[in-house]
Amino acid sequence: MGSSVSHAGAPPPSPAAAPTPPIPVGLAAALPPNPEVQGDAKGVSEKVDWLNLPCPVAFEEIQREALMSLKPELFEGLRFDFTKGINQTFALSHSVFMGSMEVPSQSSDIIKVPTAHYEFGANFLDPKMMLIGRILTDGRLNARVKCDLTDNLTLKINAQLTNEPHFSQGMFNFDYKGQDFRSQFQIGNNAFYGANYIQSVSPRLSLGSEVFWLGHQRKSGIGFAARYNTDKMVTTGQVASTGIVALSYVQKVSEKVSLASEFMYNHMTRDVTSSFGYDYILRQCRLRGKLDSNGVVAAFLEERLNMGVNLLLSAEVRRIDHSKKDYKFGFGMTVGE
Amino acid sequence: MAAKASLKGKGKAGKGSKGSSEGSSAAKCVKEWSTWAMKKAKVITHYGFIPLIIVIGMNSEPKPQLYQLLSPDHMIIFDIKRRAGNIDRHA
Repeated sequence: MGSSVSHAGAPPPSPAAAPTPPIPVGLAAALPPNPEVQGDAKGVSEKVDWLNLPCPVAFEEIQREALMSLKPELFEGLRFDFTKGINQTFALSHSVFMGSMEVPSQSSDIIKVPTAHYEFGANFLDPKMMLIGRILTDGRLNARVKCDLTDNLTLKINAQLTNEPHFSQGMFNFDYKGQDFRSQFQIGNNAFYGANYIQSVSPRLSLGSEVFWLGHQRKSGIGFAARYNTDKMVTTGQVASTGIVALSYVQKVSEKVSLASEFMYNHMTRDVTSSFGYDYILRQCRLRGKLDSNGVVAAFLEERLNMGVNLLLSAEVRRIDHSKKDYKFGFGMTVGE
Repeated sequence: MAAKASLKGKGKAGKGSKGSSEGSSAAKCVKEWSTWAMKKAKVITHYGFIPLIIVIGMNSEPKPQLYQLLSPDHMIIFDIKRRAGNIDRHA
């Protein structure tokens, strides 16, 4: 997300015409968890060990808590995911989706296209290497590779290949993790090059910056980000030369409840959005809801019915004015992890 | 794909700087070769990535059987039943 804030001003490498398929919930659980920032290991009264600062969160995950609470994967229609574990490391997944997908349009009308697809996927999760592949009925392949080349150097490859020419995209990321810093170098198609660097400057504060260059459009950009977190709260701020300012604040009210808020300002389009949301993580269910300044009210419920069986309910209501009213309701089930 | 795009950019820049001289034939050759290689690599990845994951998974420890790929059993418990049968026989 950190990198996408800077890219949002320049046309992003992703094609606007092809709607991206929803990533199954199992994928989010299959990804290895990122190392947490050990914020408050030392008490306030203890001396700070300036030579032993914790490793910061990766630059693109800097708004991770806010995104988890405020941007659940809302969908419209029916969704069914089945993940079959064959091994500790190997699993196959089958996913069916039937519903409407929104197609981005120039006019202010919302155009929905009814789509139905089946997605077959295979996951191989090793401590050192992770391979995830998903193929849809229309021939699109989503491939993700994460390989630990050494203890500190990681290679990540992310690709969406389609049958239509010139619509495929891919990105190579090289991550280097130091004791209290992380750096990343990205190469993408359409001659996209990016680099970012984030450093812990205190046990709770980390600062980072990124630069990117789009070859085909001769556009470049630079952005800065800061993240301050304690046990109970996380606050982040990001500024980019594409004219985007994004701030977020997440407060963990208790073990089960956390509240999040986000503010985004786009200087080029004079667009301002702010949203507030809550995240209840209870024993049998997880409920996330949000309220937006665009007039959107959304909620997402994942309820654990049984061992390995989850029920999903998704709702999004937009009622800001007559032209852009939209009501989206979806239901689904996830079997397996 | 990424390397293909970046090589394309470099190839075009090389052609522009050399102008219309014949010295650009080497750069053109490299560019055509790399374009052909990237196209083939894209097709191979498109068709072969998921079979590659399946082959790697079937060869990982503990080695699964072929029927486990197709059986609709969730979290195969057949093995557990089979092993339980063996223990009964020994006892």
